[in-house]
Amino acid sequence: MTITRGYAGGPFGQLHYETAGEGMPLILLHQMVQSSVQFRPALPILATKGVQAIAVDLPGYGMSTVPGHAPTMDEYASIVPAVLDHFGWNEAAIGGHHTGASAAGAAAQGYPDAVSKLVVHGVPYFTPEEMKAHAAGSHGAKPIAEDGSHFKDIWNLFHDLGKGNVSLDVSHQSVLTYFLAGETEWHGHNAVFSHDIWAAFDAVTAPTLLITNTGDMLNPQDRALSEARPDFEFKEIEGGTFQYVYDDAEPWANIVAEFVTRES
Amino acid sequence: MKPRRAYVDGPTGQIHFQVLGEGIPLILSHQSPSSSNMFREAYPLLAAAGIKAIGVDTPGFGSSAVPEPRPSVRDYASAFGPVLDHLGLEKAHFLGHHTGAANVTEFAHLHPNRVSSLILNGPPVFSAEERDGRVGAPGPMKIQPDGSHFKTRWNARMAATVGWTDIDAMHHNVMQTLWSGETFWYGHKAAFEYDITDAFMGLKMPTLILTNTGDDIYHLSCRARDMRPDMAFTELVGGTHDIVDEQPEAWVEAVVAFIKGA
Repeated sequence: MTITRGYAGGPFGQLHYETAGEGMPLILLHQMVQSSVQFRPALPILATKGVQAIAVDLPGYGMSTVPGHAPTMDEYASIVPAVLDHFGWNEAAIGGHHTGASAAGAAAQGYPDAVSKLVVHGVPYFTPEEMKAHAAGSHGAKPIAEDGSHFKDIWNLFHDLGKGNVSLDVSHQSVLTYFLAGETEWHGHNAVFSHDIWAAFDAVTAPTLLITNTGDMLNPQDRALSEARPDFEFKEIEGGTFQYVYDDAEPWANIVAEFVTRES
Repeated sequence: MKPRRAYVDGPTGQIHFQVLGEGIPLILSHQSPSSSNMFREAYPLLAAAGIKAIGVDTPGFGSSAVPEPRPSVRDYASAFGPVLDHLGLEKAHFLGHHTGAANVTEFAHLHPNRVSSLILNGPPVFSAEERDGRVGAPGPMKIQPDGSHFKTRWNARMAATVGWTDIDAMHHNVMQTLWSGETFWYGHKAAFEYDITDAFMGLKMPTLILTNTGDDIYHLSCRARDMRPDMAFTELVGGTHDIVDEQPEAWVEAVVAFIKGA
């Protein structure tokens, strides 16, 4: 199944996306610091299950235009109606992972008529105190070193996060997308830690699947959201890492496709 | 102003390109490994001079689809027709840098009626012996468990860029190289397999050989001038193969002066 790439007009300029197949539309929003590449292994699998997934590069990431200011989470969510317009659809299922899950929740809150179903995985559903603590630590861009060690520093960062259990391929992609985002790579996390995620998920009316994996750093936050919204379908996977979507694309796509295509 | 980016379908899969400006159309073809982003400093300057600058990602580079099997320079040249058609252009001026100069020479050889004029920025007029000596290297890159493949790539670019001054351009090149995937070595392979001689000697449209004295293949531009003394010749002083980053104003001035006089 061939992956097709394209651009849609968006609130901050051009939005770049990858898509495959035909079927139930599903817009996928990625984690930080990543891009639509994170969903590349999943797209063809989803397509064989009757889902046309559109993995969008969030503004400032991948090949999408860099915004002139640090966007809010609601501004990231505003790309959803732009993508729907581009494809001529009135509604779609929205899926998001980590920062993308926060954006997907904001889209479900802001555009309830456009979001038919919601799939979130690794939701940054921190307590207000945790949000403040994270917001205080801005990472900023890694300066370019004459000896090329800046690549190694970021490689080590991603490698440490995965405790050696992430694939080399996804770590390589993560380093590239980090440096591709450049000086504004902090925008996405900035939006996460200044977002009223509690109000957003309180407001969600779309049928929602909450996926978590016990090896992900946001597993406790997913459990907290599951307690706050016991009506969300909750699927906990044993193990995995924060790169589950890429490294375990097949089981992930199967879970997502089953929910998205299920008759309600 | 930033270029507007788009895809068009081509014989090797999706071709990615970026456009800035209105006016005289100019197709830009990049060196390898790199992408159409190597002209990022030039796009706004060209647009301001009344040029519609169209940077094309060579198949397998930037965001253009990776061709399989491994492509030739003729395959690379096949990307330009669909871009012209997509933009509704019968013909355009063409500029190519290093491998890009081979790409546009091949296109001009095959489709002379679609090329108003040609700028060869470092034409790779290697002899058969020189090509044989380099066709073996480099090869596929492997992602290493300790991430050292980035350092290997960085060191290789450093070694290939004697006299570099712009570290941002160096970083940018390594990024653009790796962004397209592990097949970035296809470009040099195709360039060294390609014998440019017949196509180059047969060119009939107005042509400028553009070079800079610090370019790693400056001597080839001088050789090209000797082979075709009828072609225009302009050399900038100093610089490296990152000349567009290093001297964008002087580089654009030379390009615009030729196009407007051609």
